[in-house]
Amino acid sequence: MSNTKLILFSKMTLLGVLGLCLGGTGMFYYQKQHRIHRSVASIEPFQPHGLTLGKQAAAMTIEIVGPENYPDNNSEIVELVGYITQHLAANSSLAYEWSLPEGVELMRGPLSDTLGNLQMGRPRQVSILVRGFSRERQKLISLRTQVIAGNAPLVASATIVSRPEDTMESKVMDLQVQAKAAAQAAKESETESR
Amino acid sequence: MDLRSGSIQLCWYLIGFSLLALGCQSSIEPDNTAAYAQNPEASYCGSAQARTYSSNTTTISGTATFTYRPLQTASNCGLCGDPVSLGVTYAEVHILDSSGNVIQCGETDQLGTFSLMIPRVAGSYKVQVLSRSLTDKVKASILKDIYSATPYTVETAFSLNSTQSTASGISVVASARASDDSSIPGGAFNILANIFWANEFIRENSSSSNFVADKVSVFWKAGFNPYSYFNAPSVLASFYVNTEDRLYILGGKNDDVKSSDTDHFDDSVILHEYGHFLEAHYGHSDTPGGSHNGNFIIDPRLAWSEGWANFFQGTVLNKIVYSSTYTGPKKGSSGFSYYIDTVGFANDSVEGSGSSYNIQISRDLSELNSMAYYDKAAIDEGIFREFSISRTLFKTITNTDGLPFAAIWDSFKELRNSHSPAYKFVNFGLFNSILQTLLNANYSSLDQSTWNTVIGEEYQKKNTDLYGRYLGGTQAPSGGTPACPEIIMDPVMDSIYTYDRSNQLKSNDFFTFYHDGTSKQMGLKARSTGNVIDMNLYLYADGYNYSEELQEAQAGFNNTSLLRKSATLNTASSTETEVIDFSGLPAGYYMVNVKASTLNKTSANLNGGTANYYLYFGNSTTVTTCLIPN
Repeated sequence: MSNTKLILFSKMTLLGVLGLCLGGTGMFYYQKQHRIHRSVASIEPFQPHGLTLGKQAAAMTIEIVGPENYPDNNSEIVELVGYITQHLAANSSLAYEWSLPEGVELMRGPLSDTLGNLQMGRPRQVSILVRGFSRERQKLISLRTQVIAGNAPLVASATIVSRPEDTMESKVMDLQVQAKAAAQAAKESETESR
Repeated sequence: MDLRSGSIQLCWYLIGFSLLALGCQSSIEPDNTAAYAQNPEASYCGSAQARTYSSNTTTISGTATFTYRPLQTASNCGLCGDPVSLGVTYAEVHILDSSGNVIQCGETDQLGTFSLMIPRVAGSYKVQVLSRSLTDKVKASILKDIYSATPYTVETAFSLNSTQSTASGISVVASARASDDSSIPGGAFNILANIFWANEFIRENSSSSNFVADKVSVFWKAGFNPYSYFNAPSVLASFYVNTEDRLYILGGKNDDVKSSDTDHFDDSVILHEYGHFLEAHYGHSDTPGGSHNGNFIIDPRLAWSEGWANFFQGTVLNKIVYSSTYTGPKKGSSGFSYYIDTVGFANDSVEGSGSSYNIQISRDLSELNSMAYYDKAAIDEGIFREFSISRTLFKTITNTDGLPFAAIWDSFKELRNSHSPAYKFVNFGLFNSILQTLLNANYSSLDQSTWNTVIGEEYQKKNTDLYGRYLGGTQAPSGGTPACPEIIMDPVMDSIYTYDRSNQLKSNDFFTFYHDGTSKQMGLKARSTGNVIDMNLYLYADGYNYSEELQEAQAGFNNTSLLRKSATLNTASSTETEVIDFSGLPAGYYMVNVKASTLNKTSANLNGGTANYYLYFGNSTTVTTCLIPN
């Protein structure tokens, strides 16, 4: 091989390697940007609440479970899973509807539908994939259900937010943990001083 | 793990291990970290603490109002339309100088007006109205959170010159709209109003015309779910915690009040929870908690507690809040017979929303049992169904020629009094027996026919025959077979709501038993006719949690209130004996539970099978004394 051909081959090889690197890096970031944040329910066993607690005489209860950690930017997709439990018999199928705020886009799943043959007291799972529900800004999504019972519509509703850490519920939980730790420390200190 | 097993495990965890959280009355032993960080509530300053200024004073007067979201039941809309205004009744009022010092204290009157005197000094001032009252009409504090324990405050600024003797027409408003005030103080004052109405109802409808209940502390925050204090932010509910003697009212969730479930304008929910508070302070509750969706047979102690609270809210709303005759501040005049719980709000011309229907719970307390859509009682089921109890009480005092609430209230209070045998394992049958005795003694001229009709129509009892019958009679064994008088049980299949539940009416008998502290054994001898019925004998402590067989089969099951259990598996024999030993148990009241094993039994296993049994003192072979319920 002449020197000219060798140089040309080397340049082509280098370009190829460079292209592979750039392409691979690009794909990595593309995939990272578009990976689905799996819900808690899809990665670990879920124990639904509200079966024996909550509004006891309600015809339905709902809980929405989101990702364990919300994405930092709006380009990522998250999965939201609603656990709908019907507690009382009704004259109609159960209808449900998600409400998305401005800036949140439905990527997959029905925004509304009806569920038939629900077993009383047994949660049914419904889910959607959305984009734009991130920690960039606090947003709220609600899931609402309705049945007709005794000729009257009865409803249930649940909400989930994209920055749960900003809610009073989260702050209270933190305060409780801190208070408990402080109490434990005080108790241990008291024991040591004895 | 599938959802079903997950939910069952949760139930076992919650119920089987005595972490019983009620939807509305909580005997939960919360993670009591809240107490560590809590500040005491600031001292109350009302008319009793008012300062006297002898000369050169200025009278400051005005009106405090709150707005609430009105309930529309006819359209099923729930909290619907623009907020409506009502006077703030008997609330604490302060006047502050420009430095923020409280220079005078007082209260609003029944219509929300106030008039306080301050020194005649030119300057800037504020009138503050606080969500508290410590008067002879109502004693309550509606507080923001358990940490600060501060009441809600609404205020209006004004100024005076040095010659002014009066400053009138000052208006202070607590709004229901977050767009006016993000803390939605109208919610706090609506809660306070409901507690006033409850007290007013008792004053107007009992022999205690000066009644005012003990002070209650209520914690509420707009957009906040108070179950978060107990590490359960996913559970949305209002509740009374008897171990803390506090009410927690649901303010929403995730800072949201528009789509979320909220209770600050749900008068039914507020009054229901206050009914539990009254039960703890003036009646007597033995409720163990547990699930109750208002449509299946439940523990009679739980049914009574919830049934009472449902009834109480309905009658306060009917006789006061929506009464045509009550002359005080109220929300309507067309009467009210429901338990209504709403979600969010709708059709506010300023804050919008858009849902046509927002009612999540609607129960009519005036309907006939035969027409009831939910919790329709079959024969003998009344005391086991909370809404049947609620309907019974509501119709008893509302229907023509019904009983006065005074008789209900007197019987309610009688539950606290000493009696022999003691009022234990309180349930509606026991309550009705007390009511009957009291009617005969103190209301003998009253026509009881309406009450009797309702009792019959709802399949209620006026005795403890079906739950908690006193096992106080004894007799010598006959020497024949059977040795003692028998009781018949025809058990049925478990009902399945979330998990298998033994039918506490048909597959169980419950007997109140006083143990004198001496060593003894109690036996059960049973014989089956038809299919074999496996009968078991349980002994529970006062305040027990009922054990489902399903729970008992769970690894690690531990119900500390289940003191003794004799449950020999019997699949083939038509006769069996179970014996429990009282050794080591202190004197006191216990619940003896004779229970047919029904877990995983089909109707084919149980139908056609009847158990005849009797209880006795003795041992597995010898019957010394027959025990007879009386």
